[in-house]
Amino acid sequence: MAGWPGALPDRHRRVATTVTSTTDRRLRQLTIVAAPLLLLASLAYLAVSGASPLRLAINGIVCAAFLATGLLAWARRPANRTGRVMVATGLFLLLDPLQDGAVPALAPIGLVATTVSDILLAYLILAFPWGTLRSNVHRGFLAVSAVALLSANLAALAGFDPRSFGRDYDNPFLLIRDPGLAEAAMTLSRLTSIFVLVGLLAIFAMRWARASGPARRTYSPVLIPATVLVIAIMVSTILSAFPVPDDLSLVAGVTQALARAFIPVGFLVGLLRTRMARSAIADLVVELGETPAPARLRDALANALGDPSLTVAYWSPAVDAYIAADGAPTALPTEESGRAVTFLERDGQPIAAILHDPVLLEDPGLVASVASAMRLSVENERLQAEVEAQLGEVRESRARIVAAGDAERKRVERDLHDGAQQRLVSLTLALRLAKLKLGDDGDPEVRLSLDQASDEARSALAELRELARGIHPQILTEAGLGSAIESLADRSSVDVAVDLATDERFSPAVEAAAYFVVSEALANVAKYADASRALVRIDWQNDELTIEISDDGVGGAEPGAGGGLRGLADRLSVIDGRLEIISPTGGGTRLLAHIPTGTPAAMPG
Amino acid sequence: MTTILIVDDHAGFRVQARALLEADGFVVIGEAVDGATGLTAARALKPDLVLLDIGLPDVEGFDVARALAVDGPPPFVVLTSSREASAFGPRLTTSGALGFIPKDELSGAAIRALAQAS
Repeated sequence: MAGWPGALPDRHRRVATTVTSTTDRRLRQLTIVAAPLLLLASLAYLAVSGASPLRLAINGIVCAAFLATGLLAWARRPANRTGRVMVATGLFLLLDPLQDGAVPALAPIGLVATTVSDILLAYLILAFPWGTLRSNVHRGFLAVSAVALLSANLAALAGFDPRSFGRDYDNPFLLIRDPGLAEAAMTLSRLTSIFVLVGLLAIFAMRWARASGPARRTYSPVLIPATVLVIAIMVSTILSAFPVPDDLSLVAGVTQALARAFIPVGFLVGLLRTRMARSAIADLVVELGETPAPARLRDALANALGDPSLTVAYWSPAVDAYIAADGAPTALPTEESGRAVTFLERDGQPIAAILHDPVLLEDPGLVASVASAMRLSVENERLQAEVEAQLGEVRESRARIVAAGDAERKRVERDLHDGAQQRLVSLTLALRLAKLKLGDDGDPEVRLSLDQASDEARSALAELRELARGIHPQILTEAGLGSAIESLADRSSVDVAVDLATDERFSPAVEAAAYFVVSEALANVAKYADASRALVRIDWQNDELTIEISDDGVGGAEPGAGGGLRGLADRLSVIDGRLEIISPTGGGTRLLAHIPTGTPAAMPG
Repeated sequence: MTTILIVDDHAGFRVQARALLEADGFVVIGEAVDGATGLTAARALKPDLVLLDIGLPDVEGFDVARALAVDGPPPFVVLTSSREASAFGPRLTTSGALGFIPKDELSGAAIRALAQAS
């Protein structure tokens, strides 16, 4: 998907492809017909060679297990090599009876076929569930093992003299006459087997140790019988070097065969699990309906797919990136991180990305089917996430505006103080000096003029100070909320009692908001409430400042009437505060402001 | 005769205050433009009373008032400001000064009233 920002290379993405070439289909159909016939032929040869019914039954079961499961896997997952390799393993296993059967000349074919089937089985186990080997270490190991096993086994065959084991036929390929050398060849063959088996066990152990939870769940149905098989073969190989009672050999042989047969069963379990996952997805669609809550969607998806580490990220055109449900940007995983991504789109436009364990990609249809079913819900979630992100920006910008307003007001107050107020002070002093110089025996008309001028100056100064207080009360900065509120109470025309439970200082935005709430509320009390007394109570608990202004007036206050209360509510909401009004008609009014003082959501520096 | 030291960074106010107080019978023995020079002058000149602006450039008048009380019998301190008393609230009462007179109400009579009240 070139051109998408953040698109991953194809190694981490699988797109569902179906190999529908006719040759493949024809080949499969041919095998379906031929396999039972070949199985019967193999069992017939065994019977003719004098094998026990037990051996007939075991061979039949093991080969049938591989062939049947292989054909099923081939039909279900044509893109996955597993099915074909499993069928090949079964077919080679059919030649096992040739090793010690009625026609000794065919023995090498049987030996080679059995060795090849073992190598194929090792390949199957290492490649599970992908169908291909994903590591050069594994490829190297398998190649070396194949060469070593084949040569060692052929060497053992060249030294095998059936007559010395009490059999009544000759080995036409007996090349090593010397019993010592023959014994050595046999031992070499056994040691090679043991080394390969130990190597396999080591690879199994490392894979298990490195696997995540979901990966282990996927591996276990095959890895467990594989481990048992490897250990059983090791035991058999070691036992074959010593004279052991036939019963023990029999038990070892049967254990091996059963373990071998369980490996195709493990593949079936894997297929079945996927089927169950898909039906869980179908249930999921019904359960969630069309508009699930964001956390439910993620949880339900993780549950249905069996991957607790699953997360969902939504495409936001606004920020040109993927964001989480709460609006925070989300980075897509890189190749090394061991996570995979499945992208969801609609009409070629990205909607969302599901981040999950790579093991889920083994079934290419699984995640895609979930995705298509969830498309509508995911679209809704995407929109929600985008709205959250935009809301975050809006909050920040509002807070910036309010802070800028506060700063501007402080500046205006400062200018008033430094400019006009200073001049009036100076004027007042000059008039006083003039009056003093005039003396008691000065012209009374001059004295009168001076007195009038002084009164005007005093009034002007008082008005300027009142104006400045309305813009920004200096006492709030100097002495904090408590003193500022008390000063408001003193100036009110109503009898106001102040109950302060804290003398803590808060951030300028919080103190300003609290002050103006009280100021506006007391002004309303004086203007509308017709009250005789009012009470201002300030409390600070659990990082929340609560300011209550109550009066015994006529009540009936509403937030809509009079822009003052509306403006207060807006101011409070910028700092995540809220306003409550309890004002039954005739029953007095209570105004409650709640302001959080903890780590603020959007408080600029 | 009450001697006064005026501590204020505003030259215009110092001129007017000096004129007003001297016309009312006080003797202004010195002027200082900030807290540091004010402290030095107070120790050197030992005035009866210090007229002390709160808004000094280097330090707040409250701190100077406290420093004055540290060494020897302190002079009477009268705080002043272009702002009114309610802008400072409880800080005035805890300052240890004789009292506060806003600049626009400054007069010899106001100072005497404060001194008599103590």
